[in-house]
Order: sequence, then structure tokens, then C-alpha cells
Amino acid sequence: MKLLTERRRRWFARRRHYEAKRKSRKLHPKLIQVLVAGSSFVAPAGRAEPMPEVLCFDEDCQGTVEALAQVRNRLFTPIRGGTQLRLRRIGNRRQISTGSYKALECIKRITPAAALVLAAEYDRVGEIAKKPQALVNIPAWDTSVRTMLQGIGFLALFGIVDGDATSTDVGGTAVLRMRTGRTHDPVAINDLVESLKLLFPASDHPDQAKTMGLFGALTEAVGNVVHHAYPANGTYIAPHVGRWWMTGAVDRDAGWTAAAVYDQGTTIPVSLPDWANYPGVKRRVIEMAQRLQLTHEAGSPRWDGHAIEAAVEESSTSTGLSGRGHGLAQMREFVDACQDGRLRILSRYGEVVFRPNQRPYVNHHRAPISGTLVEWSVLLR
Amino acid sequence: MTTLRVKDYAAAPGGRYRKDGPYSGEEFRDDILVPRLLDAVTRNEQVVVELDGVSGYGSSFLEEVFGGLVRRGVIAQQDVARLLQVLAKEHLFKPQQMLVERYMRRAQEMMPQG
Repeated sequence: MKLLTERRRRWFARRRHYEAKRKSRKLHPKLIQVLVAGSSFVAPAGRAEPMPEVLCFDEDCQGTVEALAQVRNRLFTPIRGGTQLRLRRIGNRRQISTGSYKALECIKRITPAAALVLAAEYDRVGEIAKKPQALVNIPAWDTSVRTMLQGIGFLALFGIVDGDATSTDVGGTAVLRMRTGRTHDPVAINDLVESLKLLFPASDHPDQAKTMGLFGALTEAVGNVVHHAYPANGTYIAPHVGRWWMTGAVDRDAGWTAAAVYDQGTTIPVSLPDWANYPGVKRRVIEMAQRLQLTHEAGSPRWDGHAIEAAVEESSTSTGLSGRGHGLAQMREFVDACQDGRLRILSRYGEVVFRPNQRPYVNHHRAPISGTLVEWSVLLR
Repeated sequence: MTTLRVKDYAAAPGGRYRKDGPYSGEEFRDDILVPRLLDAVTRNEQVVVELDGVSGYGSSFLEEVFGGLVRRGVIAQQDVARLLQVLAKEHLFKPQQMLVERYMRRAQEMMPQG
């Protein structure tokens, strides 16, 4: 008798293991609730892929960016391979199962900015796939997470519409329903700012100069998306729908106001070489590399954070009047004018956090964010 | 003297170019400001633009309106100060008034001489 090679033996062992696992899953499927296009039913669950407990760019930016990248990859798999729901055969019966899914029930806390990016990922796939996506196991979701996702308009993407409230309270935070668009829409931006003002208690009016500054900063952020995020010949992390998403929130207890603009475009580090003031940006990045005693590799994801920082700095001092990215300076100036708070820019692998009178915090992550997220957290009082 | 209030054109001014969306700087400049300015030139009058009363400004809007006006050469550089005055009556809009002055100055500096 011919002896099995070690490699062949390992292959048989692995096959036995997976066959047994599959058989067990077929015989004893776990049933969970599935929601598609507003109607729900019970179906055998596929593999639940865990999510982190906290999705928050402040507390765990790396983990949040990675989790959102995994959601994106999971969502794009069914587009390539068919629907997210699978038809399976059990004996003579045919039954729908969920296939593998991201277990949103694992999340115990999610911030408005993370919820915005998550919602935008599902929104994009829904538009590209032109077929309803499934949400799995909603009853098991954490109440605060469900309320946040409901408030931001995530559940409305799946046909769950709970009234027409423009804002929802999650703990002490009032969050606004997200807005989305393709053009530079000052009416939508103004509507967001006015809605934020209404979230303040009657005895605690926001400072008018600061709300004007927020309007200007949001206007520039959306303008940057419309001008630069979706060039025809651009390279993208995932297929895009050419849109921006925007939301805001007010922490009524602490008084912080948050606003975020997200796009799924070509990212700042990728589009930099097309900027009119790119030579200045490049010079700054090389100077940073020399200061850090590191070797600069142009275009390397490790340098994305520094590239974003350099783009903002160059934008602040540039004399090029209609140069690309001119609005980055105004986004930062708004935080400086508020005297407290921060501006976070996440683009591809890079992250930069600007605070008034401080050196920017620069970082890069293992996974990319698909596009650019600009997020302010300021005291508007 | 002709007074032009930005708030009569848009309560919430938009972005730089017309193709970007409504209430853009380019639209305000070409459709509202330039015709008034040309009219004022023939009558040797001054046009006053009031910045007050809007939700705020993106720098792109202001730069495209006033920097763009200089770059386009709608009125001769030496006549700009005589024919156009940009005003902020409210204290809140003074920074925008200063920005406009800076944008126009820079646009003039960047214009080819002669």
C-alpha cells in the first residue's frame, strides 16, 4: 500500500475537519432574524464575523478603521459572488441562509462619526448592487447602538423608518440624521448647522461666530469632495458612487458639538501629486522625514499621515489662490478659532489630529479608510 | 452708489464654481456683481457689496467672487478701489471683509504686469 505523504495527510485531515463542521452546521443551524427590504424572517445563520465592542475614532482609531475595512470587504464579497443570502439544500428542502455576516450585535458603543462611515458603506453597496442588502440579528443589537444607527439614518437604508425625527437622543448625545449628496449643496450644509443649533438647550445658545465658522468649514469640506475626491482617472480603494455623507451631534451634558463629512473618493495622499501646490507639500514631507531621521518613500502608506499634515500646512501658507485643497486651511482655522476641540482627518492609511496651539498628532493605520473622513469636535458655546 | 447684499442672492453661499452646485461664487460674480459693476462704470458710480446676514462663507466663494473679479480683469486694476467697496456692517463679518481685501490684493499681485 502506498504511504501518504505528509502534505497529503494534512490535506485529508483538513478536509475531514471542514466536512464535519459543515455537516454539523447543516443538521443544527442556528436560527436568527434576517431583515431584507423592510420585511423580516427567520433563517439559519451563517458564520458570524466578530466586530469590536467599541467603534470610536477617539478611543480606538486603529481598531475602528480595521473593523470598517472588514465590513467593506464583507459587503463587496456578495457583489462579486451573488447575493448575501444563500439558498441551501437540506434533504429535499431548500432554505435561505444568511451566509457569513458581520456581527453588529458585538458592538456595544458607536460614535456618530463611526456610524456615519458604517452607514455610508452599506449605502454605497446598496446603490452599486441595486439589490437589497440583509441585516442580521437586529433584536440582539445593543439598544444604544440600535438607537444611534436608527438616528443617523442607517436603518432607513433597510426600510426601517421610525417617524421623521431629524434628531435622536442616544444617552446624553443628540445625533442628526445624515445628509448625502453629489453636489456642493450649501442649503443642506446650512440645514445641518441650523439643526445643530436647535439641539442646544434654550438657556445655552451657541456662539454665532463659531456656528458661522462651522458653516464655512463644512462648506470647504464638501467643496473639496466635489472638486477633488472623484476624478475620472482616479484610483479607488473600492468602487464608488461619487457621494458625500454628513452628520452632526451635540453632547448636551459636556457641550461638545461634533460634525463629520465623509467621502469614498481617491483620498488626499493619492490625489496630492495633482495639486497645484504639490511641490510645497512634497518639500514639507521630506523635511518631516529628515526631522524624524527616517527615509521618505513617496506614496508609501506609512507616510499618509505626514502627507495629510503637509497638505494642510501648505494650504495655510500657500499663495496659490485657486490651488487644490485650499479649503483645508479653513477647516483647521475653524478649530483654532474655537480655542478648544480638535479636527481629525482620516484619509487612506493616514490620520492627523489638529488641536489649537499644539503640534498635530500624526499616525498611520494597518487598514485604509475608503476615502476621507473629516471630523470636528468643538465647543460652540 | 449701488448697494448689493450677498444675503439677497443667497442666505447660505455655496462653493467656488457654478458646476459645483447652487449659489456659487462664480454665479454670484458673473450674474450679479459684474453686470452691476459694468453698469456702475458707465455711470461712474461705486458698487458697495455688503457681506452681512448670511450663514457664513467658505473661502472658495469669497476668493472666486473677488479674487476672480480681479483676475478676469472686468475692471481695470487701478479702478477697483474706486468702483468697488466691500463692507461688513456687523462685527461678525469683519474677518470676511479682511479676507476679501487679502484675496483681491493677492490676485492683483499675481496678475502679469503691463
